[in-house]
Amino acid sequence: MSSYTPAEMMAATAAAELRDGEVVFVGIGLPNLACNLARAIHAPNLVLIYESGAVGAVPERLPVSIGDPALVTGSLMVCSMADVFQCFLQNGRIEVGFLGGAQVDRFGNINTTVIGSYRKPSVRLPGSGGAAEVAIHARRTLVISRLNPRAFPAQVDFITSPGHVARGGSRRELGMPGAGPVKVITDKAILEADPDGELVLAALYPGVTVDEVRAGVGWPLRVRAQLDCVDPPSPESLRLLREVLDPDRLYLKG
Amino acid sequence: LPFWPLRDYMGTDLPTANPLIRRVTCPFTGEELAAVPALNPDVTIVHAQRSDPQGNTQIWGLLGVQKEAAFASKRVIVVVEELVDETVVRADPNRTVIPGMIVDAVVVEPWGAHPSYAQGHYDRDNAFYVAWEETSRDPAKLRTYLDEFVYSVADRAEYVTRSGGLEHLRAGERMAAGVNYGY
Repeated sequence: MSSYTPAEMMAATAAAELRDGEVVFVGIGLPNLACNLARAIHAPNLVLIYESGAVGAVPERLPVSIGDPALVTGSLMVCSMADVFQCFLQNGRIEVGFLGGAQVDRFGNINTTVIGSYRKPSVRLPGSGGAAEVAIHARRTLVISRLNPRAFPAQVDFITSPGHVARGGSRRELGMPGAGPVKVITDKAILEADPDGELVLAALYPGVTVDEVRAGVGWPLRVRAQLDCVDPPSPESLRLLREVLDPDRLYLKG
Repeated sequence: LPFWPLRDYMGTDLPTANPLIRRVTCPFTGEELAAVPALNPDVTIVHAQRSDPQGNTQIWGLLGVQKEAAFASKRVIVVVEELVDETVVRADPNRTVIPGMIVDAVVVEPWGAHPSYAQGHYDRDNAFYVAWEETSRDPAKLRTYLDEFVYSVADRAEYVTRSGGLEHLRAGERMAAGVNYGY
C-alpha cells in the first residue's frame, strides 16, 4: 500500500467529488490540482473556469496564479473578469466552487478577511477576492482546509463567505441561490452539512480516529451514526500528482 | 453610471465593514440588491500586446478589467510590446479592446509587464514571484531590491539587462489562424 501525504489525500479526495462535464470554478493550489487530476482520470469533459476569465481551460502546466498565460492557451473562451462574475457566477452557471480559508466555522462560514476585530485586527488576511460570490452563487461548494481548532472555530471572527447559517439567517432566508458548502475536505476526514446546516463528521480517512477529528475543531463535533471510510489515492492519482501536475511539490508539500 | 448592482454580500460581514456597499431595490421586481459606487481613476495605465500610434489598443489572452478601467478613467496611458500600423489594427477590429479616442499616450516598452506576462510575447516569471514573497517580507531586502531595480535604473532596457536577461521567458509559438472579415 503506497504511502501518501495529507495534501495528496486531499487533492485526490476532492477530485473524486467532481463529475464529468460539470462546470467548476477553480482556485489556485489544491483545488487546481484536484480539478486537473479529475480531468485526467475520470472527468475529461470537466469545464474549468478560472476567475481571471479562462473558460474551459486545459492548462498544460501548474498555474501558480489565476493570472497565468498558460490558462489561456487551448481554452474554449476567454472573457473579461466582469463577465466571469456576471455572466457565469451571478447567472448560476457555476456548478461547483472550491473554497478555502483561514477559518471555517460550524456552519461552513469562511473567514479570509481578518483575525480579531475588523477595526483592529491581529491578522489582516488576503480578503474575499471572488470567494464571497462563489460561496453565494455556485450550485454547491467544496471547502478544502486542514483541521486544527484555530482554523475551525465554533464561530469565525468575520464572515467573508457565507455558509449554511450566516449573518441574519439561513441561505434560503437570505436569498442565496447556491446550496453552499456541502462538503469540507480536510486532511483527516470529510465533514458534511446536516439538514440544519451544521458540519458533522461523515467520513474518515484510513487510519484516522473520530477523536483525532474532534480534536481538530473548536466545537463539539457531531458524528454520523454511519461513518464512511474514504479510499486512499490510487497509484495512478499519486503518479499524476507527483510527476505531472505538481512535480516541484509547490502545493503538495506536507 | 454612478453605481453598479450586484446580487451579492448576503449573509456576510462585508457590508458592515465597508460603508461603500449599500442597498438598492429593483424598481421592477422589488428584489433588494447590493450597490457599489463607480471607480473613476484619474489615470489608468494598461499593458497590452500592441497598438497603433493613435492608441487603438489590441489585447488577447486574459482581459481582466482593462477595458472598464480605461473607459472609466479621465486619462489613459497604454504601454505596449509593439507599435503597429493602423492597417494591422483594422485587419482585426474585434481584437481592439481600447479605442484610440480615449487614449492620451502610447508608450512602447518591450518587457514592460515583467515579472508578469504578455500573452504571445513572454511568460509570467513564476520564479520571480516565488522569490518575491521572501524579498517583500524583509524590509532590508525590499529596500535593496527597490534601489537596484527601480530607483537606480535609467530605463526599462537597463532593468532587463540588470535582471540578467529575460530571454528564457520568451513565449513559444501557438499561432491562431486569422479570420475572414470579408463580406
